[in-house]
Amino acid sequence: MNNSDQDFDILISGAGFTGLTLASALAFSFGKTLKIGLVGSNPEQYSEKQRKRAFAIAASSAKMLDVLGLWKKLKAYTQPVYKIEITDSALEAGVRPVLLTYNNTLQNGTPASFIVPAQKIAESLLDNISSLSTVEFLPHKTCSDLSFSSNNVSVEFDCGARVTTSLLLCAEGRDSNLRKRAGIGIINYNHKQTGIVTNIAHEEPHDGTAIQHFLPAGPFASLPLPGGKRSAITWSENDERASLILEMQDRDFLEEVDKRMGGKLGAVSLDGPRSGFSLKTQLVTKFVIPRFALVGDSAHSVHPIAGQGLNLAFRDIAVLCECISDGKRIGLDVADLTILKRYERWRRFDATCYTNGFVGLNLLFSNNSHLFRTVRQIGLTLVNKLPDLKSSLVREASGTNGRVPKLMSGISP
Amino acid sequence: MYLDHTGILKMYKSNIKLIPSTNIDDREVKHFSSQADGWWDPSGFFRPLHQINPLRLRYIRDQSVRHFNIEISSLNPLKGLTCLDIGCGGGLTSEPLTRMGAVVTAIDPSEENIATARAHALNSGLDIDYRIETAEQLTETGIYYDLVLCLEVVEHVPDQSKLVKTVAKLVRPGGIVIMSTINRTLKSYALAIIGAEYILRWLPIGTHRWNKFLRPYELQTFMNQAGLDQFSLTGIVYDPLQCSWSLSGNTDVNYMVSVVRTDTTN
Repeated sequence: MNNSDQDFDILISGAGFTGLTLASALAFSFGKTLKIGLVGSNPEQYSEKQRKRAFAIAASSAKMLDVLGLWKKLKAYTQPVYKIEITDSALEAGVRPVLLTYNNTLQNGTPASFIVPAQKIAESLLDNISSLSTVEFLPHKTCSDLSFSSNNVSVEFDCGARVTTSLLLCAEGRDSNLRKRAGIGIINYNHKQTGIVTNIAHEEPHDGTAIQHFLPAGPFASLPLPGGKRSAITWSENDERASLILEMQDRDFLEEVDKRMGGKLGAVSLDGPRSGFSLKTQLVTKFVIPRFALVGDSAHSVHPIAGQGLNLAFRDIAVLCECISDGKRIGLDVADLTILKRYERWRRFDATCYTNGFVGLNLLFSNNSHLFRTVRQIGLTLVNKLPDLKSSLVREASGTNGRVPKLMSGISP
Repeated sequence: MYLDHTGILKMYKSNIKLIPSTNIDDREVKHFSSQADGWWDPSGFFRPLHQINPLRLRYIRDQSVRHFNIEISSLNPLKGLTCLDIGCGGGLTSEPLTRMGAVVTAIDPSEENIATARAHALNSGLDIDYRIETAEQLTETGIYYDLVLCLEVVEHVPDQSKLVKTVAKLVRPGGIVIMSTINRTLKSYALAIIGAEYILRWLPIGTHRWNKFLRPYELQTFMNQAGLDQFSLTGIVYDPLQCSWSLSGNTDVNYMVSVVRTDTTN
């Protein structure tokens, strides 16, 4: 605890999925020892489009939600992904032969990932936050300015009010304003692609199979939603084509979807609004400065090609909680720079690998060159023939490879 | 690699008050005093000390927990222990020890250091008994402590054996003393003097006098003569690739020792 006229020990700016999860994890890990503030509009205030999205939750992220006491209720609304199919063909190919099939389960038989409707995650997080006495939620405020002193950070809200906090955590997402205010630069890569998101209903059951069609313009993924005959579509197109597609009449739009599905799940119909967002990969030059740390998309924004965005944010959260916990156990102040630096060292390597890896993967697949297709087909066929490599890829995507933070191994930090 | 927190050889403040003592080096005290404002700046002059602090704190906690047989899982494992921090500087160790539950008395001969430490503790809402005092003066009160820390101090005093004897008087029988310093080896000359001062410029040239460094067996001899026993020794090494410090069996440069006062008389 810090001095008495301090408003918060930790202030979180951004109450989206990352911010809400961060507040839940901190409150769970530190209980009454930390006074937490959470600022920003929450997913309940999001548009219908945003709430209709679905997230791929990796097994390690599910484990963390379980430790936080959220997964038990959430599980009923999730669709486990048992299998992943990958195809690689030209848009006009019609039938898309399966090039690679993964058994998407870990060695103990549990699924490596789950598809969860965004709405359900939001409800469960908001429910949890409102029950926590150590978290003060300021949902209608925005952090507009900040100034650092040796003892704390003073934050000004858009309404003009000021609070102080020992540590400021930024979970504002990819285009964070606070990150700019803190003077932290970014390295970015514009894919010149737009992500198109929608939900569909289909005739044939998906059987818990996620399908990734690699098409010359960009990957097209159908992710199985609960219920068996609905799927979420995440699809990348180059910017010009995407704006045309997004403007289309429903009938024409559906035709475009159908063409890409290649008849995989039978006749399809639209089951939700469509939305588009520009795809950018970016990574910050620093994760932390004294009394300030970036978490989730505000630190690293990745191509949705592997559905890892929220999972990387969850990993940030788990690691940060563990670094703070270890620091507190040796009596350090919650904002001690050595705690923040350890968080940065632990996360930066991982985040750099992912951001660059997905850029490479996207470049490798998003083209119509015969040479690249041959290389991909040899590569994917090889992967298909090597069960060890396959299961290691599944482990990597599930977040159970490498040094796993405690919250993601199912224990409290 | 090694680190230390000795002051820069720049202009001395002329108004520094020194308390009379036979076993402190005025020049050293003035160095620290002239940098007193910078103690809590993690990227400033005492940066290496901030970096190494978690490691030292973990060592102190683990040694105490083992010796006093305490449950480690608690957030304040040192609860109820009385602790003396000799040469506390700006309070970089005193504050975490207090948060861990110890009742801390912290002394430093520099008025500036104690002023910085007091102001910071007030801001952190921590109750620490800071005093402008030397270890020798404190022995006159007859008070002793469960845990006595003497970190990066012994290489800065004129009579090292005498300091160890003084420290021994301040720990209760059955209590422990933890000291840290730098080994006197060819490697410490290369890394601590040539590397850190002349090449990396982590510290100003002339910060350390190599001949004041102590070999672990020399320190052990002083300690045994003072009635401190059951020597436990660990090295501290710097990994330049990870930019991080870790505990190690290698004591060639920086090392920490912990000893128990075994005699029962005062």
